[in-house]
Amino acid sequence: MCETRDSKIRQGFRTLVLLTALANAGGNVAILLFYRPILGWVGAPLPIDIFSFTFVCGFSFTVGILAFIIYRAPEANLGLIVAVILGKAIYAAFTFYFYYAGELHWFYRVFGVWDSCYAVIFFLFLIHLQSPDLTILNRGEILQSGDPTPRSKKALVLYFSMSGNGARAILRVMTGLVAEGYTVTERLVQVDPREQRLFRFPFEQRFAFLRIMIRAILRIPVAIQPLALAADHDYDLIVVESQTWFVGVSAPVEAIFQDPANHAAFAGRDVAIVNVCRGLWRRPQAMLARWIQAVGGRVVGARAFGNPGREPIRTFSLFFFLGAGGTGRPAFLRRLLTPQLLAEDALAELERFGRALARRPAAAMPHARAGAA
Amino acid sequence: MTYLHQLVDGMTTRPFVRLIHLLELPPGRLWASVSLLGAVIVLCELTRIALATVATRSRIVHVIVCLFTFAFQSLLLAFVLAFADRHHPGRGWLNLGIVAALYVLWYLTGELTRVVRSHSEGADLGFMAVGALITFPVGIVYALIT
Repeated sequence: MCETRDSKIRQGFRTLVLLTALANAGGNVAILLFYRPILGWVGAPLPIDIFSFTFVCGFSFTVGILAFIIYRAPEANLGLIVAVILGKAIYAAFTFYFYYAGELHWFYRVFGVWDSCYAVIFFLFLIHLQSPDLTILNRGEILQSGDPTPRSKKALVLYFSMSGNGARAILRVMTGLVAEGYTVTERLVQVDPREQRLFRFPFEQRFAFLRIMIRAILRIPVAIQPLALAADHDYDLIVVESQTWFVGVSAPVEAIFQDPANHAAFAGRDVAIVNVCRGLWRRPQAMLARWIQAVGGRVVGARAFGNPGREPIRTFSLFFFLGAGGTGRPAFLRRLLTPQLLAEDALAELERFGRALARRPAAAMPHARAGAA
Repeated sequence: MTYLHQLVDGMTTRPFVRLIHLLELPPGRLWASVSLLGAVIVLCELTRIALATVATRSRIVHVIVCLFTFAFQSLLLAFVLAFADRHHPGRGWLNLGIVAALYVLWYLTGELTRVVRSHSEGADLGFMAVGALITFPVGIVYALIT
């Protein structure tokens, strides 16, 4: 269903891209050949600087060719899409600037409108095409195992939870895994003792939230206690959970991957991702997936869930929760505030996710584990 | 040294002066002004969403994504309301209406990405509301005192 919809969207975008390819390339050749009569018909003055006029036509023609290359293979030309977005947005910006400055005839504004519309269209096409692997995972698919060694039916769960929301989520994944015969080892990531007090909830230190926020935005790493994961461990699945911290993965979970000593433990292994958040999960999920892939792991499944409730009260409830150190405070707003824990339907879905992970399709060809020490 | 002097003396700042002038929401060039702000709002939101799944280890990209989540837009619009009121007093409530329309455009742009990508987060109404708490009080204060 989703695949068909995506395919139709892709086709629609490709048609629009072909249209601008023809308009840019063909239109500029036509304008160069017939600019005298065309400008005469619309009442526009002839170009004062014919060199600049020709250069602009040449630039616009080139953008048409770039659009045609994108039309032929959109996925292989994401960089070109960015270039075309810039080209069209800058052309539109300059057109409007000189039009509003009173230095350009209205006829040229038509091209400004066209290019500004197409800057948005190309932007949307880019958003549609990006990270197709995550699109597949977010459809709910569980991918085939990348680990050809026989299943040990043992899973390792790595997580960091300050308020308990992530812990509850991961517990249900574990329940699902256990129901399918898995033995699960859970490892709560422990922050280094020197920084432990900063990452306790309710906050113990002054301006702790502010400090964590600034660190999260600037991606300042946090030191964690060694996980001491052997490269030849016998877990056939690793599940990593992370809460969203300012549009990113939580610092203690990212620290797992920032420590090269842990990389070998993920190499050639099946890894699943769970993201828990207020509302923003795409970037943290992508961060985790790319880290796992960078250290040689295979992401076989991913789920992301937000806390229940409608915006904007959900966001304000989160701030009250963090500020007050618990739910339902201040008391006079209790009826309005939304829960800070995942809803039961999300937890049930996570349990199903655990079961599905346990039943993930085996690797195609049994041979030695890739990347194993 | 002469060339350096010629270079500095010949520098043109006119485009920037004109752009800053547009941030005043001048009555004579309102459409141009709103078009500029609308383009910035759309650009920020699409950039935020487009960057969500790429350059995942880049600090610069992450800071940009965080800023474009709400801070940059809401601070810009707060500045516009204050700046516009200083240069064209008495139009505070109209300016607030324009900024409210830009917030709607911001929301619609985010939601548009849901159409083109399954599982897009779309607009973040929560952080937009936080942004509105920065922008609108500034505009209301200026509208009341001028």
